[in-house]
Amino acid sequence: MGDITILIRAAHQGDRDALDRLFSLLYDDLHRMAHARVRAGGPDTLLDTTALVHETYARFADAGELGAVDRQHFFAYVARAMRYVVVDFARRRSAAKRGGGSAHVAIDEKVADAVVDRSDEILRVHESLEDLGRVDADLVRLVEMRYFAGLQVQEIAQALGVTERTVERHWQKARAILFASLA
Amino acid sequence: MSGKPKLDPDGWKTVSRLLDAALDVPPAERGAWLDRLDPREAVHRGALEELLEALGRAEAAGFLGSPAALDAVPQFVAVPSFQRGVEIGPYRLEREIGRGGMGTVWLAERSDGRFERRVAVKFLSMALTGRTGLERFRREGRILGGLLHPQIAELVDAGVTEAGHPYLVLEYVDGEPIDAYCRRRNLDLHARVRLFLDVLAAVAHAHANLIVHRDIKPSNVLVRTDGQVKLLDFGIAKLMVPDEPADAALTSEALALTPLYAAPEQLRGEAVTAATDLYALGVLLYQLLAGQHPAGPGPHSPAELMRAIVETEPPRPSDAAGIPDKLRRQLRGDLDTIVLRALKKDPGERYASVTALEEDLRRYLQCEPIRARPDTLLYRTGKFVARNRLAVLGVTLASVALIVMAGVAVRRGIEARNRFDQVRKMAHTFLFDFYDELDRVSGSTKAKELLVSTAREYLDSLVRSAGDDRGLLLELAEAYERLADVQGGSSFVNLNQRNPALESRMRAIEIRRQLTGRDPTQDAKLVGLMVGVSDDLRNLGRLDEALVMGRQAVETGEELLRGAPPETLVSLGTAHVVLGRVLLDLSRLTEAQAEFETAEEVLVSGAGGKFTRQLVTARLDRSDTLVALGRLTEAVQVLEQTERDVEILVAEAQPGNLLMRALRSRLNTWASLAVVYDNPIAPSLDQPERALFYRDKLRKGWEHLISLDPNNDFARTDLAVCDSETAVTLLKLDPKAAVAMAARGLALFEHLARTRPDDPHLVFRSARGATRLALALLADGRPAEALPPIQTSVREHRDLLAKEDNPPHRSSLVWALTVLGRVEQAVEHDDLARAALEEAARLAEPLARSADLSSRRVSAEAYQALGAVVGGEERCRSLRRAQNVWDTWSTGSSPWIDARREEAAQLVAACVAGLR
Repeated sequence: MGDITILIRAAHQGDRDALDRLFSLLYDDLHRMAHARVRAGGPDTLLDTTALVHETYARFADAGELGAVDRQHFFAYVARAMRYVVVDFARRRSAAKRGGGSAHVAIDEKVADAVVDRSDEILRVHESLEDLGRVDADLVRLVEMRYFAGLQVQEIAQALGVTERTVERHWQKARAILFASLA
Repeated sequence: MSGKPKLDPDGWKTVSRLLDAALDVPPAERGAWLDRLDPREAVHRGALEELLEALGRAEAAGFLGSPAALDAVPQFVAVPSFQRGVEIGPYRLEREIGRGGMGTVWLAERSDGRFERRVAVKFLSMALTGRTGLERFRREGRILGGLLHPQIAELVDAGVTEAGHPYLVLEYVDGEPIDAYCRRRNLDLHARVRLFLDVLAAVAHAHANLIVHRDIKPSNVLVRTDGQVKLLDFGIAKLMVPDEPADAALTSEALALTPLYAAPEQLRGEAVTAATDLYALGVLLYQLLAGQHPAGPGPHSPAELMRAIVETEPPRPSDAAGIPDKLRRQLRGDLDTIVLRALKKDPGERYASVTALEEDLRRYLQCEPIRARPDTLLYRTGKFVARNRLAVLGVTLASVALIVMAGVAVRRGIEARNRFDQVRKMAHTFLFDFYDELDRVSGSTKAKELLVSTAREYLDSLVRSAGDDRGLLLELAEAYERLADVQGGSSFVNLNQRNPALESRMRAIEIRRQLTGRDPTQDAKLVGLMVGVSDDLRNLGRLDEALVMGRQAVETGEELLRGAPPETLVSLGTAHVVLGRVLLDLSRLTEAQAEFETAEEVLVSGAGGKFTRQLVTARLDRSDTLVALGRLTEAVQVLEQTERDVEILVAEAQPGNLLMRALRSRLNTWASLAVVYDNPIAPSLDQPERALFYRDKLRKGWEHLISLDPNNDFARTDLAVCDSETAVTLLKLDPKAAVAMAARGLALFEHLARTRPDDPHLVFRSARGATRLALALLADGRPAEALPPIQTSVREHRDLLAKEDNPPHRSSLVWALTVLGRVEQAVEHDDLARAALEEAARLAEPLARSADLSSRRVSAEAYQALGAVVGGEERCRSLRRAQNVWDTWSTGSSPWIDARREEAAQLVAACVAGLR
């Protein structure tokens, strides 16, 4: 597992191969954890992405795997992976609600009803982020960290190395542009 | 909001910067601040205002106010399922040491202090075993526990926690994956082979005990510092009995992102055997020798990987990319042959057993000749690969869908630039390659549904971002059409969901509309699509919508295809035909006739004078119209000409699909002829024997078609209709036979309705079949028995009319109510009879004025029947209404009508006289 640090560094330097593997690793990891949580927790479990992200981070940090610089990058990558996990879940829930039937996750009717609006919103935000990504990758990263990974402003500021004020202002910008796109 | 704000990179930079500044300004002063922008920046003012306003509304709405998955439910704090100190049996968890195949692994120590022993506790996801699988899990745990071998990590225990989590307790192995080990120690070729032999010994032992590993990969093959090999993770190993298909979806290759070690037969959803392990060992050996995966240096998307595994012969290890010459020389020859044999796509062609592989490797080490034969050149050039096309069975298809989705999702995040290619490839694979295999899958509806819903989402998102790319748009249109075929085609119903199919087709239409005018073939496809949708709508009874779409189809066709090459004219001709049918159903007969005549003209010129089955269709429809107008003699002329022409068509058709279609055309012609001869309204045509003659041929014909194509439900429907209508012909001639026929027809309808419960067209015909049965029973003097079918018929007709109020539904309901009235009268339920007939008369009003013959007749009979059960003023009124309808036909056009008219007049006279 010391590989993670190497991967992060390499990925940050533009190594496509490393990036690919890093994503696979993180996505894989988060997905399984998320899955296990939903399964283990019973019908009323909702996906607590923040906790998952922290747990993942803790696992690597506690094992002494991450240097200070890597921490920033790590959060960004985890947030991106988390986004895809959440989108995946949202898709399944939407499908389950429409009667599409997911092979693996049993959805309780009540929960499905409660969650479906969120699922649609999640999917639409995800779509808009695709577009936004073409013009402002930083903003997308911010949304991933805040909305999909559920990190606090303070944590994001630390991870990105900017002031909290900056994070807040950029967040407002992101909300504005996304809301406008979705309207 | 005027629509999506445009995001172009340069514009956005400026807007973004300005927005930053604007947000720093207190809201109250923003207006003034905007006013003070210098002219170059003021150009963006509109966008800025929009965004600021959007922000305000976003904040008010709480948009993105909380992280993605939390809801109104109070904050859910994830309590990790396992933590340090938790006791599992006699063991206590120390720390998490990693992720195993499908779950987390913890290091644990014995907590009762009896003796020091470190174990690894591997928790499996409950999703894998499922709630019902726990028993089996325990049972298998016991079996695997019996597997003892120095190179296999011992399974110490298997159990389930109180919370229901299955776990395995394994011997703790402190080692590294074999590929890392070899790399780090820089082992030479022979050393690697020797190490690999240790692995083989372990696997051979397991196989001898009838245990297949199923998940061999480097992370499951560890090497300790002392060089000892240990195989891990027999967690999903099964005994060598046929797998339950349901489990296939739950194995690691389904959940994992990259099926690097999956064997071709696993991806094809076939049985997993010892040969599957052999394949994985082959991949492992390839990696240890050539330093890369047989599919080539990475990274690979899961879809590419799967294709490679199932379809592509790997290069010889010695031919692998980027290996040093010395190694290349060493690998060439025997090692190449050995590895490739282990990697054969067909399990039967691999080494028969792990032991056989072991032996050949030993021979290589001892420089003795090996047993395996090298591949022939022909084989290597891939000529024989075709048979290994990716044929995916049911549940594997679902897992494939998941894998591809996941793979592309990750890819997207990385290479936005290549997205269209990726996605294009994926859409192609999804809907073209997979769909072709789909029909071979039986009983895998869930998988098909998953494929369909996934594909739909994907296509929808693609459309949004396709922009102006014509090539992509056309592909998307075709993809939607394919999707519609899966969802419920216009020729064969697959998943009984006709409406989603309609939606998909509408999407395809929308897309294609933007692309017209460049290519007549594509234009013809657009028209064809619109025609198909119109016909579907008509069959669903949604006539108004069908009319709109039908007209659009004709207009578009006329605009785009008039001057086009002849082959495309078929589409235009069909457009006219379908529009004509809709008009016919709406009883707009003259217009319908005009359409059919145009259709014939177009089809004739399009076919260059040759007689085609589309022409048959147009002719039959035209004759239907003539029948409806009462011009029966003309109808007969058209039909008899068509009968002659269709015989030629049948004679010239090649066996196979074309012959089937020609036969159907002939049967449809006979059906129309039977209807005409059965029609008492026609003067010289009232020849029931001729009708019966044709019906007999018809029945034999349908039965023949059904025997050729047992899945053809449409042929069965037509057979049912045939029987049902024959019953009516037989009413006067042989009531008993009529009952038998009608009952048979109805039984067949009911059987069909069970398989296609959402098909309103079928329900409609079935209801009419029930009416006929009731009529037959009535004619046979058994009114009491007639009650149940006629009541069912009325009920079904009412439902249909409530859903769609159109002339055919209405007319058919009136008919049913009339028959109900007569039946009730015959069993002396006078009140019920009266109620039914009053309803019939009420509904019949618009029908009395219809251009369509049979509608008028139905209304007249309804009034007359009502007259028979009521008295006084009401009676006279009703009878007079009937007389009025009969009067709308000119005298002398039909003896039968004249007789009815005469009869009605007499009844009215008698009634009026009775009043005085």
